Amino acid sequence: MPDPLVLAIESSCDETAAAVCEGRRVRSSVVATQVEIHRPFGGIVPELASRAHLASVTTVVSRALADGGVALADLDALAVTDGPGLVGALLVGVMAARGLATATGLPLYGIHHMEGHLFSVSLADDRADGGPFVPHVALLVSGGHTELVDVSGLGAYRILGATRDDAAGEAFDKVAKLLGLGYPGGPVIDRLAAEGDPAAVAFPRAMIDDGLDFSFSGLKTAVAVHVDRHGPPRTRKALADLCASFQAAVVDVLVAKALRALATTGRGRLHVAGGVAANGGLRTALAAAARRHGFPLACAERRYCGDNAAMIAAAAAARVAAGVPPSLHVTPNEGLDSPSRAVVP
Amino acid sequence: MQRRGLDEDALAALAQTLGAVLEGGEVLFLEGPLGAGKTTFVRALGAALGLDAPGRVCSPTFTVCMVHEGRVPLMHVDLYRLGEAGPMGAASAAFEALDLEAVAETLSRPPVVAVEWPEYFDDPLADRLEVRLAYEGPDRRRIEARAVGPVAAARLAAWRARAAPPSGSDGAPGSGDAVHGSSSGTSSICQRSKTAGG
Repeated sequence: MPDPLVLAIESSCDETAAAVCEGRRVRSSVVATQVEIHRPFGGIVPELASRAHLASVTTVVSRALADGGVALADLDALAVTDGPGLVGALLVGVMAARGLATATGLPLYGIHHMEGHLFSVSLADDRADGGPFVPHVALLVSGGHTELVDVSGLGAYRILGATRDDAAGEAFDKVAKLLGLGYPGGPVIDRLAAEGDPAAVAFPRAMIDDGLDFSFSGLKTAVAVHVDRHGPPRTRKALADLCASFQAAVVDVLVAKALRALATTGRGRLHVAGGVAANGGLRTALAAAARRHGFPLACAERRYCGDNAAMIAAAAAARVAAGVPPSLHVTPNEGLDSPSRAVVP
Repeated sequence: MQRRGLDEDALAALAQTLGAVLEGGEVLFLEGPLGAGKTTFVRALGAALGLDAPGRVCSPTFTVCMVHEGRVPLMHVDLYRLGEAGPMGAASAAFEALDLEAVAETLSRPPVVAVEWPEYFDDPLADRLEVRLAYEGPDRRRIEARAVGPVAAARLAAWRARAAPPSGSDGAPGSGDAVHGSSSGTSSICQRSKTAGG
């Protein structure tokens, strides 16, 4: 059987996206980013987000079909992110997808946003091929999530550890705000960190020797206390040192926990996905750890680290190919390991 | 109520004591600067509510609103990202669009509504327990609580009765407590008037 051709819509948070995948091969991927809309506010504004999704969804779907050279009649299935996320934002994508499903009679798959991120590592296009979806440990790091997942197969996910307070991406955004660096915080801190001394300030590595859960709230507090005590950095060098020291603290913890997850599960393979997976400091440190310990490492391509619909389409295509029946239930706050989403072999 | 010189464990214990007296339908405001311990407080409080998965309570900054089922469900809201929505009108519209009432109705019974960065909680008349956290050095926090409305006042009294005696200053019974407002006593987000603030 040829790889299923799937059109997917993603609107769970900041981006309105649509894509067509043939299996895990990306035929098209369109993302209407809202970063410019939200930048003046230092973060997403839910009401603006829903309105912006609504304004963009038809356009991105049409463009995804056109870019992929695909007509609705060619498709095998439709997919949409049905959680977690802001209810209003999710519903814009779900309503659009339901409309298309009614009009075409195609099956509609609701996909968990984080399952999409798991598949972002496996996407293939003209520039790269992430390789097949095989058992692995996944480090999922983004603005809203930081978790380690034991992936034994399609729909067989066990959460090994997660953040107890702030997500890693949230720590980047909030520290950037503390330092007056704007939104989003990750890229600008990553750039500055590259010129700074990561040993300049000894920030805490919370729980680094303890289990697989994360805590980044204390680190954020430590940066706030440092700025309060010493004043905001007055030179570019001081700012770069502070960014490098903060980023090193985040990266050290992420790498240590990922290694521990590999050791406790006995899985020989690490995948990394989510917006923070685009961070240069994290990618370099993980690559060094993979060389040192001799395990295969696969990071999502940077263009697929942020939210996109190609990863949703690929996850749905895998379910179609495996003969999993379609289901859709909008759940704003349900974990990746929810039994209702499991694939029973 | 006021307590000083709390370390993380003492703060968590105080939050659990509060969780044990909540019945659902109450609104809590968590105030204080970045890193003051608002999320830590809510996480500890959740442990005492009998949540199905207390370990899943974490910062809702990115997702704005998280719900947790349990004996007493928890709706954990963070309006940080609304806080810079510009003029008050825009923030107010953004709050309205969150439609917290509709989210609360998806739960098995009225939740405790814990709100971080409550400046943009657009219901000035809400019966609420205001918990203010402040730094007293890197590892110490001060907490102040005041009730606005009769339900919150009853919970505050029960909380104070159960909480360990203050170890720092402010030992006089009742000192630092304040009861304000004359709202109707409807404290559930489910019952919150649609017209409030609008």
